[in-house]
Amino acid sequence: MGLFRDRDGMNAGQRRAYRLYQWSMVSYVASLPVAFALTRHFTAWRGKSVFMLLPLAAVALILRAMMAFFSAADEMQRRILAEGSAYALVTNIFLTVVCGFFEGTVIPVIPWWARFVFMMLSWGVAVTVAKARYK
Amino acid sequence: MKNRLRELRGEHEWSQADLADKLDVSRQTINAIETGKYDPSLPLAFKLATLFKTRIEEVFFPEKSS
Repeated sequence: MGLFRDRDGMNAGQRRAYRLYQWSMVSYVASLPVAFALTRHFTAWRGKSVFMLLPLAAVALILRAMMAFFSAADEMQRRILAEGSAYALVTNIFLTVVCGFFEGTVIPVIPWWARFVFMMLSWGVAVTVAKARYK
Repeated sequence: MKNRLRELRGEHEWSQADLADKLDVSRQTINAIETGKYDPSLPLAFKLATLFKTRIEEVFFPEKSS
């Protein structure tokens, strides 16, 4: 997540939020294959879709870290984070539409992990661009 | 918006980090205000004026007076 990549100028609250973010991201990435494996293992069980909720606990932690980071940030840092997120959101929305039109015809089908990596990278780049405007 | 922040800070012999600590903001924010890249919110502008024991319009002023 691009939000927390630049660690300079962080206060104590932001560092705490950053650590929480790191751990929640690790648990998110770890919970995905676990949830997938459990779903496949209990194929006969009707309630197997409950395993899909497993990563949501980590997502809740990620959101908690983001909220803590925003709370600990000063007004200019908040503006940078908001601008960066807005740039990344707009970029990803329009690229998703473009890919939806051309995927499988002009461009190959893009795997889910590549989309995830692109979204994370675009967020990082967008926050860096927003930050550069105030330097 | 222009400001006299660097000048006022110099008079008090405070570094950007010192001023940032007093205002509970990051050093980068102080630098951005000084260089005119960022205009602070009204509450922060009042905090700055109060800290320098002056009026807000003596710290911040428009670039062109009409």
